[in-house]
This record gives sequence, structure tokens and C-alpha cells, in this order.
Amino acid sequence: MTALPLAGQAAIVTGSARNIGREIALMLADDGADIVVNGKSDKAAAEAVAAEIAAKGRKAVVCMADVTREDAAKALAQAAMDAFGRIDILVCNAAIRRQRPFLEIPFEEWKEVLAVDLDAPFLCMQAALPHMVARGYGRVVTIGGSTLHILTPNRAHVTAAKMGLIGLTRTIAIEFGEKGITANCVAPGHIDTVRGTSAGNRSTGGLQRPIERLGEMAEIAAMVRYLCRPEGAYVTGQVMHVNGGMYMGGV
Amino acid sequence: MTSKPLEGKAALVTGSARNIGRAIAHQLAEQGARIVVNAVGDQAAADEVVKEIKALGSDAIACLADVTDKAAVEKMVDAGVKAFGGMDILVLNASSRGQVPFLEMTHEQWRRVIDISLDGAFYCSQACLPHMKAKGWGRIVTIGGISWHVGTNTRVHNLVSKAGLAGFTRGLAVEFAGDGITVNCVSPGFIDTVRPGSAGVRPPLKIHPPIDRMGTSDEIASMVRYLCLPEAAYVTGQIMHVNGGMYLGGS
Repeated sequence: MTALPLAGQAAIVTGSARNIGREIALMLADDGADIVVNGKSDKAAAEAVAAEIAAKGRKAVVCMADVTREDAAKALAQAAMDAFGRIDILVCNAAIRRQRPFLEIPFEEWKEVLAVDLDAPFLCMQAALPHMVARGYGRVVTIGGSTLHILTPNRAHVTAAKMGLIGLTRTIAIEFGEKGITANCVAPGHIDTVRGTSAGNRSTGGLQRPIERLGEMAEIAAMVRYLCRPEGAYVTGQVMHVNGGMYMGGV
Repeated sequence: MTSKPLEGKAALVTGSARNIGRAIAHQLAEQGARIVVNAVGDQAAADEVVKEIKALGSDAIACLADVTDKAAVEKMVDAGVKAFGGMDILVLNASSRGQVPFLEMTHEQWRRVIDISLDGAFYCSQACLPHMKAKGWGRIVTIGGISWHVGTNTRVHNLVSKAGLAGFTRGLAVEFAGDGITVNCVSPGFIDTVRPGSAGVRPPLKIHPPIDRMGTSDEIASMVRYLCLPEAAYVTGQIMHVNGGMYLGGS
């Protein structure tokens, strides 16, 4: 039996108490990583994910944290260091989606979306990257979205935040490429998740979706897992689309 | 012990007697696929790769064929189907690179490069797709290149052929999405391969990628492998850049 690809590594997955984040946490654990499970408010759900990971024979700790706050993001990184003594992988998955015509978006909602979708990755990266640099190895994966690619209406804040997230991801790729750290963005298409009602309807923006079904959460997680493996070392600064062909390229 | 993800699958990898094609053949074989090893003329090298694959615990046959020769391609695919009971994966890796200033480029040089990439893709795909359709499952991966994305001197035939191959990829992705077949392109940056004289001297690195080294053949092959796995079923029509961050996107 060969060693698992991520044996001995530690990963932080933000927003991993449910849906895509949970699936990513479970798959990284399948590959051998120990996991910091993070949620904002549903502690029971986060603990259930940690229990699933423990059942796989991996270690998991729960760190409830609102990652839009600097002290909370630092505490999240510290939780990984306290539990595992290292941070190899950071998956910035936590996000919120809102749907509202542009002229009706309250400034507070704009700021709320940007805080979760853009400030939080910034804060988590700042907290986690020094520990990756110290070991000369790291994987940062951000979770983008299809909204900005297919020009969906009524999501100005989400689109702006996710576009910014790509810029942030690329900058990390460029600044930390020499430190053995890669940074990539996985852009899901329409995925069969349990959606909050605030997320609104799915729209293809009039584009075709050649693979007509919704994607599975595991199909997003599998791409994240590939990028996190040592073999993904030469892939950096990229946006990887997992969308059934709904959108085929450009940024 | 679970069975390997590509157990029972058959794969044709064009140009697989050496370099990237050989690494792809190895990695698909490690996942359980049986391989048709193809080269245009070097029987000894192809036989060697067959031996290597058998040593990995899979099976392979060697088929010499010029992919620009329709009859030879059909014969090769028939041989693969006869040996392995189907043709589930096609990796269009064979290509030829030259380095010739445009005004000195002969029409024969232009045609040869384009024929290998595009006619080769056409013949191989037409021969393999009916077998994929019959099973409702298939994977086609084309091997692109970074040069047409960034602009490269004295390789206009190569740029045109790879740009065309990307269009080919997306066209087939849409047309065969309903058949359980995905079609993607892996676009290598500067990879540390053994280059034939015809490929010319590698142009000096003017752009230093964030990961400032050449990539390895295995780093390309691992992306191809990921795309061929069942877990990548929702990824289609994409160009996946494996280039150390040298080029970050756009089409």
C-alpha cells in the first residue's frame, strides 16, 4: 500500500460544515490530510463533519469563526497550528450569494458580500501563508463562481467579489511561486447544493450547458483535491472551470 | 483493495513512445487503463514503453502509425479495440514543432505541422468516438501549447495548429456532451522534454513563470490523468494550463 498523497498534511477549509466545503474537507481527508473544519454559526453541522473525518481515521478539529474578522481568521490559522503544527492547504470556500437588481442593492448588502467573498480570503491567506512559507510548501485554492463568467444579472456584488477573488488568487500565485506555494481558483458551474433562499435562482445567462445535468459537489471537490496534491505543483494562477461546459474559457 | 479507477478502460495515446506522451501512457496505465502506444516510426521506443506498462501491471500494444494517414489510424484503432474490447480514452498528444521564420517557411513545413495536429485529431477522433458513444462514456484530451496564447516567434504553423486544436476541443465537447464524453485540452508551458532537432532551440525564457523552473512531463500527465478519471465528468470544453503560472488565462 503506497502512502496517501496528503499523508501528514494539514488543511483548513473555510465554510466546510456543509455543501461543497464539506465535500472538499472529506475528500482531502480521504487523501490523508488532517482538517480544520470551519463554520460561522452551525456548530453541530461542523462537528458532524469532523466526526465523519475522524471515522476515516484522520484528525479533525472544529473552529467556529466569522472569517470576515481579522482576529477570527488569525484564530483559525492558530487552531490549525495548535492541532497539527502546520498548514499545508488553505481552501477559501466560505461565500455568500445574494440576488438583487443593481439599483436595489443596499450598500450594507454590497459590503456584506464583499466581506465574506473577498475580505475573508484576504484575511485567511494573510494568516495562513506565513506558515506555508516557513515550510516552503503550500496550496491555496479559492472557490470562484460562474456568475462573473456568464454575465448573470442582479448579482453585481457577487460578480465583483468573485472577479476580485481571481485577482487575489493570481497575485498570491505570482508573489509566492518561488516559495513552493501554488494558488488557483476553482470555478463551479451549477452545482446541486442545498441553497439558502437568499441565493436566488440559477441562471445560465442564456448560454448552453452541454452537460445538461447539475454538477455534483464531489466533482468540485475532486478538482480541488487534484490541485492540492503534490503533482499539481506546476499549476498556478489558473481558473479551473468545473461547469459541464457552460462556459469554456477566457477569464 | 479497491479496483483502479480506469480498470477495464482502453486508451490510445498518440505519440507515446517518449516524453509527455510516454508519461501520460504510464500514468493512465497506473490507474488501470490498457494502452495503445503509438509512434510514427520508432518501433523500439514504442516496444520499450509497452514493456514499462506491463511492468506497471497493466497491458499495452505498440502501433506504429502516422496520424495523418486515415487508413493507418483506422487500422490502429481497430487493433486497440480488438486487443482491449473498446476505445474509451483518446489522448491527442502527437505533434511536430518546427522553428522557421515565416518568410522562409515552405508550404510543406506549414502543412506537416498542421496535418499532424488537426488532421491527426480528426482521423483519430472519428475512429474512436463511435466506440465511446457505444458505451456512453469517453474522454478525449488534446495537448495544446502555450505559444499561441502568448505569441511566439518563428512558429506560426505551430501556433495555428494549436489554436485550431482548441477550437476542435470545444466543438467536440459540445457535440458529444450528451454521450457521456468529455473533451478538454491540457496546455503545457515549458516542459523539460528531450527535444528532437526539428523542434529547434528552446527560445530563451523571456517571461519567467512565478514557479521559475521548467515543468516535468509527469506534471502534464497528472493533469491528463485527472481529466480521464470518472470524477472529472463535469469538466468539459476547458483549456487547462500547466505552466508554472507563465500564462494565467484568457482563451
